[in-house]
Amino acid sequence: MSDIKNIIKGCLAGDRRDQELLYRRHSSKLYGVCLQYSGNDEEARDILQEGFIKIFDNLKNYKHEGSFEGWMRRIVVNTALEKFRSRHNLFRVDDIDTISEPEADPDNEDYSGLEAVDLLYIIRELPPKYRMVFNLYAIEGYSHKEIGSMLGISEGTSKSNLSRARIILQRKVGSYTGIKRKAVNG
Amino acid sequence: MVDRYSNIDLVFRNGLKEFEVLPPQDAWNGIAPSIAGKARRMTWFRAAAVAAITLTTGIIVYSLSHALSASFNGPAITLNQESRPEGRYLPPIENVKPASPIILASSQIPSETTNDAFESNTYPVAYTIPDALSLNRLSEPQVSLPAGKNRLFIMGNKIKSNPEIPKIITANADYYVPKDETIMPKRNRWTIGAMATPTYYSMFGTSNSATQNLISSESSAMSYTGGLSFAFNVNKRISLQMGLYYSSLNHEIDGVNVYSGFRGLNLVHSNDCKRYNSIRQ
Repeated sequence: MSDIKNIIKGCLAGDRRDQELLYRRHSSKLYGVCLQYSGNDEEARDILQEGFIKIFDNLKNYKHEGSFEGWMRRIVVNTALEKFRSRHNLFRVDDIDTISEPEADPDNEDYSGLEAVDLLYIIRELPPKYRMVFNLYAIEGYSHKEIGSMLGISEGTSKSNLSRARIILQRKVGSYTGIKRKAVNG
Repeated sequence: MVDRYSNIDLVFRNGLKEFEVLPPQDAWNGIAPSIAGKARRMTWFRAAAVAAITLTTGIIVYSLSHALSASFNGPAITLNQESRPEGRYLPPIENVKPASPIILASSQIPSETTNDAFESNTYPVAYTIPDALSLNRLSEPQVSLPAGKNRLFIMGNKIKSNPEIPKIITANADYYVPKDETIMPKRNRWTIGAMATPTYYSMFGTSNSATQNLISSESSAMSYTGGLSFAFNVNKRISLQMGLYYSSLNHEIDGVNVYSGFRGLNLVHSNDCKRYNSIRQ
């Protein structure tokens, strides 16, 4: 802990080595977050860069209370949200009627064969607004009320978007596991 | 329906919990310049602020020091200084009344070391001190100071060559006797003197053989110079002098034949070329 305090101190003093050290230590995990919230690698890279610039700018406000990694993650998520709001104000959501429910029973589905990379691939195929709501609710743990204020939507819309996201994910996971199973058995 | 698919949340939450991916190699290159630029600006801002403060402080201190030195037209004394200057320190002598004019510190030094306490007309000018503090007059130790304190003397504008800068000496004895050269007595610029000196007179010959024979026949005689001189002392080492002098230049000439009319005169002795006061015929 004292190590990260020294690094933060160095960053605040403008020490380039400490700045790069902080980046090297945490960029992999934060880039994973960026990939979750973005539709492509280019967007993820932009979020990562903007997020780290904000992290360095706001280091002086970090009170050393709670997890430093969690603090950085929140900044990156907020950066992703800002980017989303700026790009997808006129986002069009597919009508619920066009999304058909998966045939398989989700309770009996076997997810053991899915790796993190598979999950990332699946989640990035979600429409942006569904992806945002799902990430904020299922991964970050925000409530629908908080998500509504973050995205500028109503609580009900957040809930319905989450439902649609889950249906899509369930369907995609099912088909993905089926494909993998066939590939393994075949 | 929602609850039915809520299990999928756990799948993604747990599956992506420790997910890490190396970012593109050049991602840091897009971050570093933005941070460095801000850091550099901060550095420049701080440097500019420090420079401004230093400059302002310097100007104020310079102005105050000039105002302070200009205010010291006479000697002054401060208290509670640590260092000892060159000079001789005499042991305290009791029951001795200082001669005047001198610094009688015990009665005139203010208790606080503040510049405001000094008034140039309170103290005698510095050049009056040496006589009073002469080592030949140990029975009259002249600077009596409050007991148990060190002092710093600012001796006024009559010190050494620079009349503008007060001489500062410090003392932590009860009495302080400065070195003789530390304080210069007031000197008269003009000096009048009398001069009398023996003088040697000689002539130098030319290529003319007759003249050389004439000169070789001459020999020096007693000469002297005397008169009044006036001197202007530019500084301690240089003075300009002038005067009104009378010189008597004598020499003897032998074997000179002088003719007057048709008679030959044998000039065998003369004290002065212009005074033929010893002519043999």
